[in-house]
Amino acid sequence: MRVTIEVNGERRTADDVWPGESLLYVLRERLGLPGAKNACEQGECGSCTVYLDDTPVCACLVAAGQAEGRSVRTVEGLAGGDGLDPVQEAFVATGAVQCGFCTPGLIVAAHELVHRDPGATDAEIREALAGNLCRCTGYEKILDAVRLAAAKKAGERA
Amino acid sequence: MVVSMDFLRPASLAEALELKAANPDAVPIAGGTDVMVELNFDKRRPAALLDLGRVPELATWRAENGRVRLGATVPYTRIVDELGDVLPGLAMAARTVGSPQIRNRAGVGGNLGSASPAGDAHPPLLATGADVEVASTRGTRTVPIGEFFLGPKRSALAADELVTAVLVPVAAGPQQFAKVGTRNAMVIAVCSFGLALDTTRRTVGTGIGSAGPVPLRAAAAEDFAAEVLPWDEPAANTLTDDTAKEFGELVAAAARPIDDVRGSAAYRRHALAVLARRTLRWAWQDVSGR
Amino acid sequence: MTGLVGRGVARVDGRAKVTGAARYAADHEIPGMLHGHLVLSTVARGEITELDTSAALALPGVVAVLTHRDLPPLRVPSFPYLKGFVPMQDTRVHHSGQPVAHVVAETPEQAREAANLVRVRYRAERPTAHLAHALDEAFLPPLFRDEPNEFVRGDAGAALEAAAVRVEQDYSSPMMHHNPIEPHSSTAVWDGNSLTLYESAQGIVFTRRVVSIAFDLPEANIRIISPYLGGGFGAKGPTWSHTLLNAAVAREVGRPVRVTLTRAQMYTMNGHRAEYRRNLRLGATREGRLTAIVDTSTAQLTRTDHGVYNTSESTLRLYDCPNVHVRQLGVRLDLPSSSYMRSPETTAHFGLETALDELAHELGVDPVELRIRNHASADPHSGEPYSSKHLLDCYRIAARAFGWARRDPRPGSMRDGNVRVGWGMATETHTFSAIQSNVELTVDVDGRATLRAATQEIGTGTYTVITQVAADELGMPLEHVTTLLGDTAYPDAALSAASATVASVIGPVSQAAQDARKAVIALAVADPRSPLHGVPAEDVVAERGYLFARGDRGRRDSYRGALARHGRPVIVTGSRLNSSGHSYGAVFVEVRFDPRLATLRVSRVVTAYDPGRVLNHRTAHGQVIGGVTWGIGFALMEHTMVDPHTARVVNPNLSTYLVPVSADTPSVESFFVDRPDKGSTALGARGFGETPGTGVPAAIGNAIFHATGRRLRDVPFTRDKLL
Repeated sequence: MRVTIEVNGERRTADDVWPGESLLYVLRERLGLPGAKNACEQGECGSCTVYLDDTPVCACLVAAGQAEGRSVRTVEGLAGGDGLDPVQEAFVATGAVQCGFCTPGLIVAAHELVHRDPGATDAEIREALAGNLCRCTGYEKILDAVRLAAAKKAGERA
Repeated sequence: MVVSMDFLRPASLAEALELKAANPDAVPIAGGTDVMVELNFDKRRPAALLDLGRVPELATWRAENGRVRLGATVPYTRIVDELGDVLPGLAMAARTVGSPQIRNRAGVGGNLGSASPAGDAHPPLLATGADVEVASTRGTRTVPIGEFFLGPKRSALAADELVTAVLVPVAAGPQQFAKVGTRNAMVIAVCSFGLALDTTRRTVGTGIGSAGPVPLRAAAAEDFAAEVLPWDEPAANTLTDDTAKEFGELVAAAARPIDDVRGSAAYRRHALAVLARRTLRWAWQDVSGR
Repeated sequence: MTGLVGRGVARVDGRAKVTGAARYAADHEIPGMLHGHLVLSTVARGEITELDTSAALALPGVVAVLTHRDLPPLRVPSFPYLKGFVPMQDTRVHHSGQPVAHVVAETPEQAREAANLVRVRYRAERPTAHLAHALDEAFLPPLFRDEPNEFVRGDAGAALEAAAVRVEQDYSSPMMHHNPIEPHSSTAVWDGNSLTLYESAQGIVFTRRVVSIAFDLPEANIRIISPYLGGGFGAKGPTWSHTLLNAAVAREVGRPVRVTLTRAQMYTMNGHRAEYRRNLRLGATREGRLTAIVDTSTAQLTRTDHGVYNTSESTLRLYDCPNVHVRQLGVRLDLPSSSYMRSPETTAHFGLETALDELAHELGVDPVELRIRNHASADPHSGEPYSSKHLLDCYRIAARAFGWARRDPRPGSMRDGNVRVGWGMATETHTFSAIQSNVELTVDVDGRATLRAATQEIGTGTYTVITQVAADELGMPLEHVTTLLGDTAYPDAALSAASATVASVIGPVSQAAQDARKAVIALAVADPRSPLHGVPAEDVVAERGYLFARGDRGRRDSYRGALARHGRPVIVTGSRLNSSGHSYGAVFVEVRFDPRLATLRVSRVVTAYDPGRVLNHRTAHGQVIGGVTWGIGFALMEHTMVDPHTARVVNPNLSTYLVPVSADTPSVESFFVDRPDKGSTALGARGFGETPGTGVPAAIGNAIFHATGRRLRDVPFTRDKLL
């Protein structure tokens, strides 16, 4: 079947899609967007987190046909032009990135939290990131990154 | 593909039921938490997927006749955000489902459809005496939640039926939900417990998760608590240690746990007794605080 | 020198990683590429009797299904290929989850579906899967990598007999899996008799060697590319059979093929931490001086190899004990090969550090004091002095920051409402290796530098630290130096394992950068067109890309100016072999235990380390937090379960093999002594990555004892054991 999705602001079409394919498969294997990572295929690790109509989801748990006509935003589409989104900047600045494989999913999850609730408490940040496994960092610096980006966002709003 | 698969995309409930009647092998999909894992792991290749994500009737909730009619695909995130006042037990359970990403997509219908003994929504639905609304082109019927689960991953749903909603009584007293897992988030329950007090009718509802082949009620514990709770003197100190302890033991006795990768049967029984004791205390404190 | 070394500069690869631009092994687009999927055995021991590939071959898109019947012979490579056999060479099945067929199709989806259609029948034999079922078959394995499995110092038996105080206990730990978030992926591209592999490999030079042996191909014909790894933790250190099989299959079908392991396949295809049992006997004087240690461990081995990967190094070398007897026994089971997994020595160290806590309790001596009394100021096994060792400072610094002096030693004495609070500690230590490493540094005509080395970035910060050191020695801004790693076209360098990378690579980087600076300065002072013409070379300093005459900063040239006039790049190489050694530290842990549900939380961790000189405080701290988190996983949840009847892994996924999530981790405070080890050629830095975490499981168990009075000796400390 044919699937048409708005990906990072661009209308993209994939043909001969098997209906059992995941959105993750479509992004990585058909649309040349390997930013979202394939690591568990069961929604446990969060490495494939993308926005689906402004909601963070595990792309591996969305059937390709469910994304038809919807908008998807991946880590590749967060920053405009050559710049970095403040959340991306914060991940670099705080040392929240090590091997980097869980990073794209974490960035999307953190991006959503920072925009929804820049005043999130530490417990709320931990909870918001509970669906993203990281095996390198031990999470502490990821929390630092979210705090930094949230503080900046809250500052903008004030 | 040799094994082809149809992707059915109904835009209304009527259309969804027509499609399900015409394609009884079609697997309904909404949040994808269970279905996509089976597809990703190539555990099954159904003839068709029936996407319920665009059926508006399933994605809403409304209050009617003292109950909330909660559409099958209303995601847990919305249950947490919108139903904490009227369905506090279910909202508490919803908060512990999977991860934020999963709560953004998954709803009660999928939990019921999978009929896993570990489904987080089940204990509060049992404790509140909810009904499951199922529909087909033959009509709509309601199944009391206690009769819905037939065995591990087996339910009373017929091949042409869809879970369309749950009908959950609006809370008539404090409710609690507690879950034990090996880590602090993102975890399938080792065991879980839901409790609902009805201070008007002076009844107690219970639901046990992950400690038997199906989600269970602890009927003896319910009767005991309804009988001995000092409903006329709802103060925190009127719930005696003996009552709480007995209640916990009756809940543990109702469980039918096994040893598995998540925990031992002995630990599950012990933990259930503690969860039951503890949630009863919390709930009773809420009664006295009202 | 511009003070870059030591600073916590941001990662040079950070931008690529936060934008999704970094290309991992499965992200490279290769024209004409096919996709492979492995079919794994469902029995653990036996023979393949029938293999029917017809249904799989009939699927559209399927190009080939290869089995032992049609795969060309491959030689069994030596270390770091750890398996004793190459799969798909005959009908024998050695473990559950062993490759028996390799399906190749146009898309990953087609390959996976076809793999499901391959029908295999077996003549199954009864497997043995657990140590407990074969302990009477324990034996002392022969040398492994030239190392024996028995070590004797003094007369431990007699000393134990004569000891005033003895502790004898058994400790055990289950099978565990690395679970890097990135699954292994290998893409084979043949061009005639030359092979390029896009690989997720912790040691591309090692991988090249293994592939060279298996295919009887000169190393010059093989190129391994691995610019980024999504973690490895040892799982990608050895080369595993999927890489060899996939390359063989790609040659057969005549097109590039990629194979990526599924999460479930990662539980049988790429090693694991072996199940262990350990009997420890300590003898001591009443004052707490160790007089004897007898350490007898039994590890899970296979019937086809006998590698012991979790050595009792700390028993042998950490404390000043005159009489030690270490025996590392093994039992052959019908399981996949075990391997190195992050901080392998943790397995043995958990027992030793728990036993020491038991001894401290027995003697009524403070656990820190006990360790200080047994501190080794020279290597107790070799007698050699240390080039530097500041472990005593680590105890002092971490204890003070933790507030250890306020600890009431009586178990169960510290409470917070219903919650029992426990404080425990342990020494942290791990060996680091040193591997001959070489680099090439080019200062190009634009005055910018590029450094090339066939090491790789596993996530620890290798790109960043190399860039920092090179920029510092060159006297260039960080952004004028580009580091290229992960390609065997570059000079051979260390693997990203055994805590070896920094210790091995930094020496040659620093040497090459110094030589390049000197070479460019020499060009400048010899060039009549340079403002520095005629200045003695030793009086020229390099800073921020400029070259100055010392004492007359008005005379200024630059790398850019000097190279532009020179008209061609300056290319130098660096080459060093550092010495191996140990890094030390101390960890202090607070746990909070709620007896009602037997719930346990690690609430506070304070650590201090002596890793020699710290080259980047931020990446070093990152290693500490990560290591401590691994220690928490080891202590509280990680456990691969194997069915005793089928010898199959029953929890091969991340929903039932639990690793810590953000809600499980406390904040980790860490301190560094930060004094250069004069014995290290890596600017005084030692290998460090695997030291943090080694003491954490014991420290947690010791804290649990302090909180509850209950001594747990079998990890993971799950709730049913805490009830």
